[in-house]
Amino acid sequence: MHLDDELIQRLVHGEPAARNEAVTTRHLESCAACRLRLTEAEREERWITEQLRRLDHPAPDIEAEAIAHRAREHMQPDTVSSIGDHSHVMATRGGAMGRRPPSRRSGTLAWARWAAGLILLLAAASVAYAVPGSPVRAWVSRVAGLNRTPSPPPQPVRAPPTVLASAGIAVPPSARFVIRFTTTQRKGSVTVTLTNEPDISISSLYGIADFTSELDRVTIDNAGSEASYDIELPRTARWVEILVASRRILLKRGDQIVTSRGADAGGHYVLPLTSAASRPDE
Amino acid sequence: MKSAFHDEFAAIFDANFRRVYRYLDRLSGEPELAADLAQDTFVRLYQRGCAPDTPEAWLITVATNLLRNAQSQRARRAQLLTAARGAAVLSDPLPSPAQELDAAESCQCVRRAIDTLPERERSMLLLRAEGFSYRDIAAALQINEGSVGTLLARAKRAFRDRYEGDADASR
Repeated sequence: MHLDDELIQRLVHGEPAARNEAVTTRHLESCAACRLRLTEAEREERWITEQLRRLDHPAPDIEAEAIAHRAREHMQPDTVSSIGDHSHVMATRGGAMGRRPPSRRSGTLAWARWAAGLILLLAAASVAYAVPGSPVRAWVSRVAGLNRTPSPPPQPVRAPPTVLASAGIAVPPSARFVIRFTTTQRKGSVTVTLTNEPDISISSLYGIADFTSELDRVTIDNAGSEASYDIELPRTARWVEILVASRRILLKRGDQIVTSRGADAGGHYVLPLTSAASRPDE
Repeated sequence: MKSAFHDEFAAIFDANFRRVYRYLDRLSGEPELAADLAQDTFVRLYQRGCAPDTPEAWLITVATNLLRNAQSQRARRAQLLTAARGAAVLSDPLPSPAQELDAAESCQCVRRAIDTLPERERSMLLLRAEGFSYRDIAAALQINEGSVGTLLARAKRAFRDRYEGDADASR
């Protein structure tokens, strides 16, 4: 019995194999064909390593302390103290990419948030001004000294379209996958939709949540957020659980969906992120 | 006062930062994006507050997801950049002798061969090239550890076929 691709590659890479090492060694000593395959595989490995090096660029010259410093800047004080070390020392050694400049992506996001907030504020003020019977109109007139003639009946005003920034993440589902919001919100909801896409997609308007992805989970740090979220679950995902803090609001198990609320006419599950949502049974 | 995790983080960083960066750089072909995302990956590790059970698999997964998200958010722009990158390198007049031209063309062949591999094979090849273990590769790519070698052999063959096909076509 000759050595298969799996065993040959494990020999090339020095990875332990299920097959007894002594048996493999004896076979190699007696089988010229397998020796040749092993030699060719080693040569191919060297060739590929050499080719891939052509793509390389110098790595940024940065040290762990600089990364830790950056991480601490965006952490809650209690979390920082649990990790320790408050000595905020930049340990970057310089170089073209050593010191990370302010991210263009995060800068754009911050401006978008400001713009969205301003537009929303103006829209809300316009609506409040135009609503029949609203005291805002009288206040404004009084302040502006324009309350000289009776004003015509107010016309309904449509809020201008708002440009909202968004944030999101897409990850492939593992066999058991957990999506966890760290806390309940004062308002806001999650709209869950089943799709034929291969990845789980999570997005939120305003982009104020922080997404952390791991092998089998995504954690959404939504502390202080009032945003709503869209989650797309692949129909093929075998087991996905959505938690708010430690409370489950949805479980997808195969084709079965367990939630406290049924799907709407469009097939969307709209689940509140407030503390009022109940826990569906498994 | 530094915590145990702080020291552990530094050890994980020293052992893995460069190879996570190189993996992302080779995978994306965009060194600045790779540098950003490699740093973001370790920022998230630090913010986690404790080391994962399998740090290497965790790092690969987070880094790959960050790259996937960055690319999907600007998918259209990325397509244009890729096309422009290829055209720029090929059309730039190289002041060097024929040897340098060969090197540039060869680099383009490698890039194209990598870019046209299926995502899983591309990741496998690049992760193994960075010395990640079969166990970590299996965990990160959610495949059976017992078939990593077989899939690697297939990925290598696919890479070689694409590279040689491309090189033959450009002669």
